[in-house]
Formats: sequence, structure tokens, C-alpha cells
Amino acid sequence: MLCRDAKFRIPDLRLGDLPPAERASLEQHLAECPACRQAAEEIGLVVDALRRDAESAARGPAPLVDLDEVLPRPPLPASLPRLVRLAARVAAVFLVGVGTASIFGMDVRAAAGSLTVSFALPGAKRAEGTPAPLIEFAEPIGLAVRREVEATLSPAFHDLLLWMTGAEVQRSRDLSTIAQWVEDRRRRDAAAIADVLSSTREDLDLTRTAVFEVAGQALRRQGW
Amino acid sequence: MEVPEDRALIERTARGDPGAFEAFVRRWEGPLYRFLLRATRSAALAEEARQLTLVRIYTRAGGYRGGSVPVWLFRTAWTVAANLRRDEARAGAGPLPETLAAASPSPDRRAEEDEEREALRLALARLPEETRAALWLRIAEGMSLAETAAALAVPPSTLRYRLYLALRRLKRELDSPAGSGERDALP
Repeated sequence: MLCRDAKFRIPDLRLGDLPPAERASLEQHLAECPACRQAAEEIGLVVDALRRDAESAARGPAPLVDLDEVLPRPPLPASLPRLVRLAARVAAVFLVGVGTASIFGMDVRAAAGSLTVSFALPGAKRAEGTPAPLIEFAEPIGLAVRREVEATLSPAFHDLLLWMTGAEVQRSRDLSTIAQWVEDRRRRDAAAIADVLSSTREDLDLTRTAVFEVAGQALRRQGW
Repeated sequence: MEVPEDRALIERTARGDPGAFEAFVRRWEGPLYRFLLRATRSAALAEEARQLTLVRIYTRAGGYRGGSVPVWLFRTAWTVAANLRRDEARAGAGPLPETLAAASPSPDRRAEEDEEREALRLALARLPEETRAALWLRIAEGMSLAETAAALAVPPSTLRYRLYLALRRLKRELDSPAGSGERDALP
């Protein structure tokens, strides 16, 4: 074995992670090469120090995991259409963007060539200075559908958001408790949601389209 | 490091057994936190990354198709931590002083610490994050070179080279206290 092959295997030797044949070859080389032997001794000292440090760290306390914060919410009801499931991800967007208590209910605003949708918790105030969460749709939609969208989509998103906030637990709580819970959740979930959002632009576009489709389906059911 | 129970717990979790996941969490919460703390040097980041990691493990348990559970777990943690750091960087977030303080030994404890250990920690703090993570997995978790490389998504040959250089560098720094740099850092 050459020195250049030997030295990079020294850590594996010290950590007991070399196949028997390689170990034998390396040990033979170390017996014959003073420079590599010295390197092996020095690396051995560092590995020993690292082991002591790791053992000491392992004895130290580590904060326990709060399982209530880890176990996810109940799964979406199977009866909900796929598009609504996708739309739930849009609702997650709002959880990132909203202020202290902007969850339930829906605010729809239309402008020429676009529709913006946001949600607000009835009776709750958005934190001062916090911009309203908005989604913009590329497809044009008439101003006349605004109230219908609100009337038909609001219950669906209400259900979705109940699911997101842990439906079984949260149903019995009042809105302010839910709002606080959601805010806590929002803070903790922000990174995960941001991760989802940054996954692919296409995915986000699909989600936006899904919400628009949900709106369309709801309106068609209403005879539009 | 992996025991057969790990796979069984994941499989039971995938079948909807919350007790199995709780057992899994209790088994790994300490090692996971210490790994993330050592790699990121941030108690807040380590705790957040651990939580997100466990959520991801829970939600993806159904997709587990065998292989080393610890490798899967630590690879997930490493990815999550990288995403969090990236998000912090995008947000322009600076270092978290309260985090560093929380992760640092108390003055009293520091005074009691062995000088070698303190010097070692300072030298470790100056290594690249990935190298610190790799050393921890190899030494504290007892992972093989192949497992560690898989967890950190680097080729084993590359990792072997980096670990050799890191250990040599640690030795040099431990031998020359004057070159140990500012003593500002942490776990």
C-alpha cells in the first residue's frame, strides 16, 4: 500500500471501520512507514479526544420533543375532492402570511383581469401593519361572482382550516384560542411551509389553479 | 447503531400506530438533537430542525422501503437543517445570540471543563459544518463511512478524504494554542 492510499484510511482504522484485508494491508504499511505511523498515532489521539467529548455531550440534557407539536393533524377527509386537498396548500400559504388572527372566513377582491382572495378570522383583527395575504389569479373573473365565491368557498375552507388546526381538538375551543394556536403553529410551521412553496414553481401554479377550479365548481353548483 | 426495533417502529407508524411513533421519538430525540446542535451550533435551529425532521419522518413513514433507519433519519435532519439555514440566509437573519448563549457552557461549567475539551470544541467550531456533522455521526453515533456518506449525501471517497484532513487539522490546532483563533464559539 502506498502512503497516499494509506493515510486516508487511517481514520477508518482508528474508528474500526476497515474491511479485514484493507486493515491488514494498512497495518503492514504502518509497520514499515514511520511518517504514516506518526500520522496514525496523532489521528488516534484526536479520535480519542473526540470520543471523550461525544460521551460527555451524550450525558448532557437534550430538550424533550413535545409530541403534540410533532404529530400532524388528522388526515384530510377522503370525501374531499383532490382539488380541495391541493387548495389546502394554498390555505397553508395564508398561515405563513397572516397576522395574529387572520384565519377563518374569506375576503375576495377583484380587479380588472384578476381576482385576489384572502381569509380573515371573523371578529378578529389583523395585526397592525401586517399585509393581507393575497393570491392573484391569472384568469380573469367578473366582479359579479365575488360574493358567490365567498359564499360557496368559505365553508369549504373553513373545514380545511379546521382540519389544519386539528379539527377534533379545536372544535371545542373558542376562536381566540384557535387564533393563538394557529399563530403558534404558523411560527413553527413556517419553515416547512416555505419548503413546500419553494419546491417547484409549477406546483404553486397548480395549487393556484386548483383554488380557481374549486371556485368554478362551486359556482357551477350554484347555477352559474 | 440501528436495532431491528427501529424498522418495526417505522412500519407500525406507517400503519397508524401513534404509540410506535412516540417510542421512536423517545429513542431518537436525544441523538437527533445532539447531532443537529453539533452540526449547526445553534440550539434554536437544532430544536426547530429536529421537530421538522420528526414531522417529515412521520408523514413519510408509509414510503419507507427498507434500508437503514438511522441513515434515513439523519439524512432527513441534515436536509431540513440545510433548508432552515438557507431560509435564514435568504431572510438576512444574523446569528442568534440567545441561541449561542444557550448552547454555551455556563461560566462555572466552563471553568470546570477540561482544557483539552474546550480547545477541541473551539477547533471543531472552525471546521466546515458538514465535516462537524460527519465527525459526529462517525464517532458519536458509530456510523460507518458508507452510512455517514449516505446520510450527508456525499461520495464515501470524498468524505474519507475530508475526514482525514479534518482530523489532521484538529491535531495541528490542538498542538498550537496560539493559532486557536478567537474564543467566541461554541458547542
